[in-house]
Amino acid sequence: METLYIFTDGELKRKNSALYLIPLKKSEKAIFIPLKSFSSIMVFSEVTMNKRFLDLLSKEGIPIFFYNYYGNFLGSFYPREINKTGEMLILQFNHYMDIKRRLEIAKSILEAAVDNMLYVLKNYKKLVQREINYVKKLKGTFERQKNIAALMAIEGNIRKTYYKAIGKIVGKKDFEFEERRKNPPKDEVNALISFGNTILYNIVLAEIYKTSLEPSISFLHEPNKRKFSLQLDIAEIFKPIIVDKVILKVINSNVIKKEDFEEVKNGVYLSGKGKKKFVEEFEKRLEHKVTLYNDNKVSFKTVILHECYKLIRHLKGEEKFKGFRLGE
Amino acid sequence: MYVIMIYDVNTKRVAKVLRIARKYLRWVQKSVLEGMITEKNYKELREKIRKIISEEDSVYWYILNPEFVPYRKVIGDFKPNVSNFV
Repeated sequence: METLYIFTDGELKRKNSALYLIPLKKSEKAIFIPLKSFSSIMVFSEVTMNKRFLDLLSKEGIPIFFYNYYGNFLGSFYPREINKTGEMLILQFNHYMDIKRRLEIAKSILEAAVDNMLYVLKNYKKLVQREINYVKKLKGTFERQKNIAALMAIEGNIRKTYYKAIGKIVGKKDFEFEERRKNPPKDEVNALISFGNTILYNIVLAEIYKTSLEPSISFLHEPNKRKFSLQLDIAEIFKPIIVDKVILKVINSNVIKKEDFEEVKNGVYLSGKGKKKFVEEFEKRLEHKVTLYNDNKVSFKTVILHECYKLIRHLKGEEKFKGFRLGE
Repeated sequence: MYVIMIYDVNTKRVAKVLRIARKYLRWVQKSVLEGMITEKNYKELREKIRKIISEEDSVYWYILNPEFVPYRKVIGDFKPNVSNFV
């Protein structure tokens, strides 16, 4: 199912049980948008709406996510929950409380994430061989760890090395990137990573929403920092092969140039035009087809949904969770 | 899958057909809609329309492979409404 991205200022209305968008500019025509083919809506522009419209979203089960001028996530409207079960909540809680079982899930998420990082770096072997070797070495130490904090510390080191490698790759195109700095992003590549991750989190959350998983209980990340955190866990697997791949693509093929960014106090953000260009590439990537079980070709978005179901099967004790790896 | 829908129905029912189809597909031109649709939704749409139309009416669906998004060429007035970026 597709994601609808709204960049037009205007009014969102419900008309004959369909979404009706009336642009603010008088020169543009109002349009009907078929909601049946969408699984989530992302709003980047200034819009007005009413409760009847939210009622329509609730009926169709579509969450709507809002972003501010800089592309930071503001909040969402999350429709009335229909398929949440008490059973799943208890299973998740049990797996969270039992450190052994929690570590098992956290490790398999991280291992898949690191394998996907290595997949991204594979194409630039000559340039970043040293970083690849170091990441591989660190990956081997996951198995021995006895608590989440230690796991996260290694993950932090891996990510630092990985980002150093990314910095070398984008350096060839005159983009500087040394380390991850957010709130606000320090340079152009940081701005792209922040923006890309934010969208990915919400896409994953929209997929979690379709299943019976409870998004507020997570395993790798601590669930106390924000309301929903399970999407951070699952997004971890996909960040390298979706967000970082899109970033390398937009930079290497000059889709996004330096003028697509705006400087603010102590930081850099994507401009309105830049955001649109990035999101278009991002959506192309999400619709990219990969092989899953016996030559069954599905889009990345379906793969994300499958990860949720795999996690459910793991929690129910039917099958061990093994994170998705690209090119396997 | 990608679907193009063309209908030819009595004026009494034109508005009704359009109102239903608009929930599933994008309106491109008078009596023509198109867009991505899941198999389940396509069946739902067919059933809903079957209930409205009568014998003299006809509705065609051209079903394309999802990889086969049509390549458009347009002359005259074109108000594109077929992408998911608005």
